[in-house]
Amino acid sequence: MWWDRSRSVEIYLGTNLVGIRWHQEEAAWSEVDDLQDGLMQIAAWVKEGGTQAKARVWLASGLAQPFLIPAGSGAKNRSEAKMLAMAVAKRLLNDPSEPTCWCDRWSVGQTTLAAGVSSQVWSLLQELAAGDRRVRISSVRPWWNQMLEGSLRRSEQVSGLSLEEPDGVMFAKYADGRVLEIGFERPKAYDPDWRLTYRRLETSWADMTFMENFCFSRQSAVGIEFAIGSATVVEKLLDTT
Amino acid sequence: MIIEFIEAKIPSRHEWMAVAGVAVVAVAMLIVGHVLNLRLDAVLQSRRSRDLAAEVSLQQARQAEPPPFASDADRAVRMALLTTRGALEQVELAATTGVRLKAIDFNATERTMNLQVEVVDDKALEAYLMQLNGRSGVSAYRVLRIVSLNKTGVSTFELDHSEAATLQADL
Repeated sequence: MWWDRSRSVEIYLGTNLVGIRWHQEEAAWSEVDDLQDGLMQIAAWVKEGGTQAKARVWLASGLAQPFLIPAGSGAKNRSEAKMLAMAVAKRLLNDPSEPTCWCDRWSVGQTTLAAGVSSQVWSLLQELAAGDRRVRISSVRPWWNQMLEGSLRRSEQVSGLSLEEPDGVMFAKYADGRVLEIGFERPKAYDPDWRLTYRRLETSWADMTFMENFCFSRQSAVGIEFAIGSATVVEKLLDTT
Repeated sequence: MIIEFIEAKIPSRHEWMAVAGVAVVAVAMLIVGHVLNLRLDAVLQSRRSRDLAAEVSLQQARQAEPPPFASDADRAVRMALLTTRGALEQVELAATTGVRLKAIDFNATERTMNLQVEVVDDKALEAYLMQLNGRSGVSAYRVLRIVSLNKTGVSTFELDHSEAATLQADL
């Protein structure tokens, strides 16, 4: 809008990686020790920008974890489904206070996709906006949502998705545009190699006809309108034979 | 499906009320503006019709009868057109024993000149009249009024000393 003098900025927020991309500029990335360190880095970048920033925040899968509310959960309406999602997110994120939840349209006898952000991440984001009045957060979305959306649209051919991000691996199984299974895995101490994680995944989802494997990339995608970073297609992760 | 953690903020009751208040004020102002516009139109219309009526009546008045100042104007015009010089020369040249000129009065409206004279007798007045009328074939002086100054009784042409006569001539 002509009266809005703020510049659009895309922010990627991960547990150990943060990135910023001003409108029509190249993205900048930085490895950080923890979330607080990452937000301080973002605040410094915004200050360098020297202008009012309208920020879209993309959360890594470790900070915005997906989960499903099963069809037989007992929820009678969307409000109950959302309350259930809050309870699940609380346990999943190990959050003692109230996490922030998103819940898909609820319908009887169908699994419902949900995602949760821990109250700690949420309050840190609010601090970023409150501490520096030059940042206005207009949107907070999980980064994996872009990949999942694209895959769901092509779900006639594809039945599974894996996405390797700096935080961990997100994987989903779907049919007819609906998510059947979804999850997130961090590399375990006994499982430092991603390949082992994928091996476990592929073993458990052996019935899949085809699976799209993506890997997070800091490069801006060519031809695809990704906000910050992109996903490169990994043809074959493992030699399962 | 778009996963968005920032939920679209539903405006609070106070915000709704504020917006509704502004809307009500705007509608009221529109109505008031419309009414005022209508009134202005009516006023302008009536003024226009009044002006038109006044013009028509002025034209009618012009055609019907002269305005009150017309007589004054007419008098002024007539006064300007009055050829008093010739008449005054006549009066100055006429000199008869027993007649003394007292006053000259022009009446522009009636286009007449009145002379007030004192005469000793009717003979003198007759001689004076003949002198005035004899010199000019245009003006015809005649006796308008005779007043007795000594109040001893008057008859028209039986004048004696100290009678005053008013003569009148058309200019």
